[in-house]
Amino acid sequence: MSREDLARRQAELLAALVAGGPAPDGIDPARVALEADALRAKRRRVLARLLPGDVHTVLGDDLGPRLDAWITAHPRRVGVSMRADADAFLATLRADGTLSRGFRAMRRRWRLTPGSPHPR
Amino acid sequence: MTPVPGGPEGVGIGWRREIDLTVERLAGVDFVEVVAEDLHADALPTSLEVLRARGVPALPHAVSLSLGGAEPLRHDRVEHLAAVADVLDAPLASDHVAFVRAGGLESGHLLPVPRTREALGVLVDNVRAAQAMLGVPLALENIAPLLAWPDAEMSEGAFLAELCERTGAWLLLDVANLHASSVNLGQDAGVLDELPLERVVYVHAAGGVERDGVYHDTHAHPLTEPVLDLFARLCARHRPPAVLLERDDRYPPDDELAAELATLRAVHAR
Repeated sequence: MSREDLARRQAELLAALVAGGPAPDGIDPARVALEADALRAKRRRVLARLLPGDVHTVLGDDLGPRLDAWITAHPRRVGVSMRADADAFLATLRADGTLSRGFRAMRRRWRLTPGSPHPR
Repeated sequence: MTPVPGGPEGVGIGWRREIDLTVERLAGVDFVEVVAEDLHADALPTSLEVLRARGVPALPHAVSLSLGGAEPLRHDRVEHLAAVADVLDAPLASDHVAFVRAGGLESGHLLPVPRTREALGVLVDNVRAAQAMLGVPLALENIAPLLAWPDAEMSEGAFLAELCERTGAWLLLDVANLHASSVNLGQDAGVLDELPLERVVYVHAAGGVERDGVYHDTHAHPLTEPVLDLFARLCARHRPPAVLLERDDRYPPDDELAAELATLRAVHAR
């Protein structure tokens, strides 16, 4: 296996894990599904922590399913930070009317708050 | 004794913003570790400044170098780790034997690399490139795998041993992750025989849960007996200089964290 082959196989595995691709040959599909679940749960936790408290208040129990739908539909591209990911999710909530226009001010304060968790 | 000048000794805990005051208050914290990507080199959190002023070493731990990735190493990530290590005046820095990006996508968490000669070669190249950019020694951590690549040519122990030998990197040995390899991939218990234990600069220990025959390294549960047993066996064979407790979520009351540190200290000092 060359470096190019390895790059291709790693890309296939990652696509299977976060972008709905098929499980690569030779890797147990059940474990791929398990790892995909783990990655989704990790991103959901990180996003939930980055979102302002008001979003938790407004969405309540809907937040988890909304985040899962967002995560499934938007694999995180290289160069997109978790903070930008959270920002993009917030933008969809504003666009579909889930969050009111007044939310902009709260969000601005949030952006100025230093320090936020990072995935690990 | 630590093999790295100024390296950690004793018992430490992973510093997280959510428990920064707890970490400051806990007795018997000999060192802390900080996720490098959580820091800005030009503005350290006050809590870390407090700890450093007390003489508590802080070691940067990276999660985004993707050293096992076949795509070109991201120099900006390595430069960030180098800058954080510099501002912390750290004796060493670390990341994982893993990949986290490929094909334009980010995984958000550590994924295993195939245990093949070619994948080892990629790791060696990336590690050497990172070492050339870092001003401090680099330690590499084994990860907790949920899945296995086919056609492994080497055991995990032999793979890590050769990686350390060819690069001169140190080992940050995670005993919970070794336990995960054992449960999830059926790795045999002889791994301690193959690992270069003299290259271990410190050990990670963390809690997790086993569900349906799969061990999940959650960092959100208490330490488990099998992980403590593995740490005890490691210490009996070659006592590492230091051990660090990782807790990242569902933080317990301070006295529970203190009790886990005391447990690790007791096993380590035995």
